[in-house]
Amino acid sequence: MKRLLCRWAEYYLALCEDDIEHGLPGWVRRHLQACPHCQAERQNYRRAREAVRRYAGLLPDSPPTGWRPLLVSREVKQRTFPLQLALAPAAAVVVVTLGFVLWQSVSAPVDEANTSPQMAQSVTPLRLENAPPGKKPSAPSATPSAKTDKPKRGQSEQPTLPVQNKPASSPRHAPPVYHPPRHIVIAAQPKQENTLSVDTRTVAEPSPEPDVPVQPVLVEAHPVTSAPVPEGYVIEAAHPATAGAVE
Amino acid sequence: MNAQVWEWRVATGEHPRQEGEQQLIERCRAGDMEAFGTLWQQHRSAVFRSILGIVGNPQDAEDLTQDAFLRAYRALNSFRGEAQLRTWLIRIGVHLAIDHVKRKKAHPEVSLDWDVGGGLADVDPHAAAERNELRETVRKAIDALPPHHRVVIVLRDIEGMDYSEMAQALGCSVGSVKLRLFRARRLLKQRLEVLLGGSQ
Repeated sequence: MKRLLCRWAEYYLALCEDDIEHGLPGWVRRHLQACPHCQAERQNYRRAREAVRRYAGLLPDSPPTGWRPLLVSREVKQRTFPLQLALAPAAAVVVVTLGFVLWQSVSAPVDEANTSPQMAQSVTPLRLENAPPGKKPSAPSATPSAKTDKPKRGQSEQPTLPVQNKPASSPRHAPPVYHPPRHIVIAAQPKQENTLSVDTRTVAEPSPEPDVPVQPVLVEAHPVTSAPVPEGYVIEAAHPATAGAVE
Repeated sequence: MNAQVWEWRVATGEHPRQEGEQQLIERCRAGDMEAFGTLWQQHRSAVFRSILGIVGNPQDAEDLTQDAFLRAYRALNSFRGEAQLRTWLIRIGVHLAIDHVKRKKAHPEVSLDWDVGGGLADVDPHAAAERNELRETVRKAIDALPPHHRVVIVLRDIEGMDYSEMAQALGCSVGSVKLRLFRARRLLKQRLEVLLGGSQ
């Protein structure tokens, strides 16, 4: 079994050339002087290198029969169907058109969905005011109901929003931003139309007085009369607390 | 789609114009076949010897040399100039030779009709016989090596490349080249000990 030092020495012996053998590390040269096995290996490597060198000298620089001419072939492709070139831009136009149409169809419902939260916010306080006492306010469900309660074409009692009133969300066209008036926006919610119209009336316009005239003074000014006093002329407190009674 | 094949016979003048290699490459890229002929004449021997050292057959070596130059001509635009053109051409030829050896799955035949020694065989028959014997012996020893070991022997001992050139040609590091060369030489020494020991 070779010693470890001999293995490392063999690595240097295999790689070194005859003319650079003096460049071996010092420990390799000292080991070579002391190790007969490595000296024999050194001779074997030297003999093998010499044989390969002589063999390299025998290799010819050219083929024995001389060089054949080098032929470089190049394929020049000729198009016999130039319609492909014409079809390429047409196909590109079709693809762009289809993409635009798809983009239009996809972007329309997205715009309506974007406007619904704003409408719900404007409606929410009104609905809270008019909600029945035993019923929960439906403010949280205003947003989903705005999506689900879209007007359908077959229903004539549900007016649809005009197309030109749609808020444009895409910055490509950049049309003038149209802010519809409040009553038009409310009309866009068909199922909420009745409640919203009532809400508007109750908030903006308080409920008017009943049409029956109340003229108690006239009743007292003409006590002698044969005509029966209409029941509507009699003022009675509907509730004792209203008349000043103490409960 | 029709394909029309054009062929150029590469002109190889006896005295090619002394011109910078980079200028020749640029002219080749522009389609100048005369410049490519100059490159072909300058480097064909080195490529041929490298391939011959691996495959061992002059006819195959010539075919592979032509194939290597054709591939180099087609791939000349990808040559970045980081290595020498000779190294790049030898690299192409070496890879083609390795593929050829692997595809053949057999040891290449030693052609005995080489004109070894530049015609000295006719002058001294005894020396010619000795050279043929040496050539056969070394050829057998080299053919017994695996292709990746054969390549480093050829590039180092036949073409005389330094380690950095070998690393560029083989696409590996200098350390890998040294380790591969050490193993190749150890194997070659063992083969030659057997072959030359019987004759000595």
